[in-house]
Amino acid sequence: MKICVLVKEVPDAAVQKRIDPATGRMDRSGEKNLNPYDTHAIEAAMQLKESGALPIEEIVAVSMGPESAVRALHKAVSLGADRSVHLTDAALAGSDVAATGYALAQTLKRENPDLVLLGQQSDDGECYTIGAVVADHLGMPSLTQVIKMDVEGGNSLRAERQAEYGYDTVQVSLPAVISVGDAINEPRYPSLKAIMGAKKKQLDTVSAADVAIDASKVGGDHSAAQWTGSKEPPKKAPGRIIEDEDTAQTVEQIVAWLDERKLI
Amino acid sequence: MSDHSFSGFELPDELRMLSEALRDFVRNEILPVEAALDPTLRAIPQPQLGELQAKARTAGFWCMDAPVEFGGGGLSTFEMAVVWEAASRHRYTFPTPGGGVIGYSPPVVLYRGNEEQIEKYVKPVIEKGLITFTAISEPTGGSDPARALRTTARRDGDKYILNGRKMWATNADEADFGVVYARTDTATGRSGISAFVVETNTPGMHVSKVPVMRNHWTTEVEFNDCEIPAANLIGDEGEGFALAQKWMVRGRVMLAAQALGVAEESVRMAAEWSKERETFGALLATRQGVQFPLADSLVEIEAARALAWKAAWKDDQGQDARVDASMAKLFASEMGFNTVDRCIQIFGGMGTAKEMNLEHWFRDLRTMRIVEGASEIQRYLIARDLLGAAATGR
Repeated sequence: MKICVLVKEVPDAAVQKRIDPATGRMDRSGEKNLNPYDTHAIEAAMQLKESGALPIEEIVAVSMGPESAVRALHKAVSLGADRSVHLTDAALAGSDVAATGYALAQTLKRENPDLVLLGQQSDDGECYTIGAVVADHLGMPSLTQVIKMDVEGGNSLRAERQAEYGYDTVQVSLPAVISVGDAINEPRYPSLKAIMGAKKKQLDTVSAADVAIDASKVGGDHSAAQWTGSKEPPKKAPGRIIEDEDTAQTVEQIVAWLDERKLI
Repeated sequence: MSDHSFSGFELPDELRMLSEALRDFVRNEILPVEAALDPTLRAIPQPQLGELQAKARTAGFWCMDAPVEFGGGGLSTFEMAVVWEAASRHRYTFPTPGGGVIGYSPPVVLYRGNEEQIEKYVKPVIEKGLITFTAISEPTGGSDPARALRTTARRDGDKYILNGRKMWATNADEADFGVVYARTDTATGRSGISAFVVETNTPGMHVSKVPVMRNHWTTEVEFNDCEIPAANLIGDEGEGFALAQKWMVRGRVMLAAQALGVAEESVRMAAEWSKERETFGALLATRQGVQFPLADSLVEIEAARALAWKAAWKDDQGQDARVDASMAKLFASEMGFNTVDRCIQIFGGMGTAKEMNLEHWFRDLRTMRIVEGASEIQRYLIARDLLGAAATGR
């Protein structure tokens, strides 16, 4: 069996994210890293493989992005993926979620995976929806916010989903597309040996034409959703600081403050 | 662009990833444990140390500098310089980044030992995380072993008999064994010095603690007719000092990397603080008295890293990097001390609190200006390279 893990290169967590008003796209000029949410998907794939509950033969990391996205794939491989596929093409630049999902699905068709895993969101676009789009194009069931997976029989998973109202338990037949929540596991550290060997593992670079992507469905010009502007959230009113000089008085002041607002 | 343009300062992907992974490991695993410890402790105690070591082994972050054939990570001097800096951003980073969490390497001269010595001493240190010691300095001095080293090793059949006193032998009170430098020839200078493995339970060896600044103590070791097997000689008689010198470049670059990690972390902490702390109605970050020392520190960090990386790179190329390593150690240890001092000043009273790592590092960095060749020795070596025989007054 084969697991494909979708991964993405995103601006590093320490970088202030901003939209370039000239292009309407995320400014990706600073430090970049593997989307931290995707590391949970790689770990989930590794745990399924290591458990032996499914006969997983290989884990393939798949990414769409510019040349620099190779670094994210190297990191994915250092975390355990056996090889990686990099979809890169100038025609794909500026694709919205629907176009990106279509392009990734076309790439995945070539791999014919039994399971597609991905992180719950990207740390830049934060759309939470790419898994559903990919699943739609592949004709596979889609589960989101999965925080537990157990193998049921030889070809299905019992998954626990995190929802606002609690937890759903869902049984799903494979193949399927599952986005995992960050509560599903604690990703391992890439080991020294795995890091040093990452570049020796197979990396296939494919273009849009290589995976039969219809050029009229991808890229900024062919995307249905267009960024038109953004504004910062309104500034919060400054809070009130109560100095704790006399604890009894401090408590009284806090209680009075809460009482005035009918919070207690 | 010319074909001869400089290839740039970017690290190879693997090294960048490894550095990030180490930094994450320190931040996520070591820092929370240290934060919960009594700050007056000398080191990370058991069982916390053992638990962290298990995590480090699982991640493969174990004895990364030791040769692969002995069970280590086999990283080059340059790779270690980058990794050591990333691993040094925590309280107990001295004398070894990770505070033992990512393993202790054996005394490096043992890598030149024979097969039996490798099996008996080197591999167990790497496999079991054993602590060792090195004894070279003596009460008569540490920077001039050719004259100051007076401990003798007299051959007597299939054994050597050691007599003399050693100072500043860190961990000799806790180690299973260590490497001791002693004279097998009292008539010559450096070429009369040999290196021996000495097990700490050997009769005639006496260890006493010497409390020093930091939450720390080192030891004095006395040898009174201490008999050790002749098989414990490392290399040949008279090779001891030459063996030690082969690793001197690497040792000094590693110290520079430690100072870099601590300085960077200190500046990060002080910068964060300056963006939160208000005085007289304005953030500290708006004051030039805070901006300028932070800016100076950043410039000096970059300069120190350039020196350390150049020395490391030359060492890996097989070039003579002794002067470069002296420059790196001198500049980085002085820079680290000055940077921590500035950052304490920015924090004010909080900077001196034991619960802050700055106070700990301040004492560590003060010591670093002395160990592995004091700043004055490094300056002398650099000047001697420039001035040649004139510098020696001959």
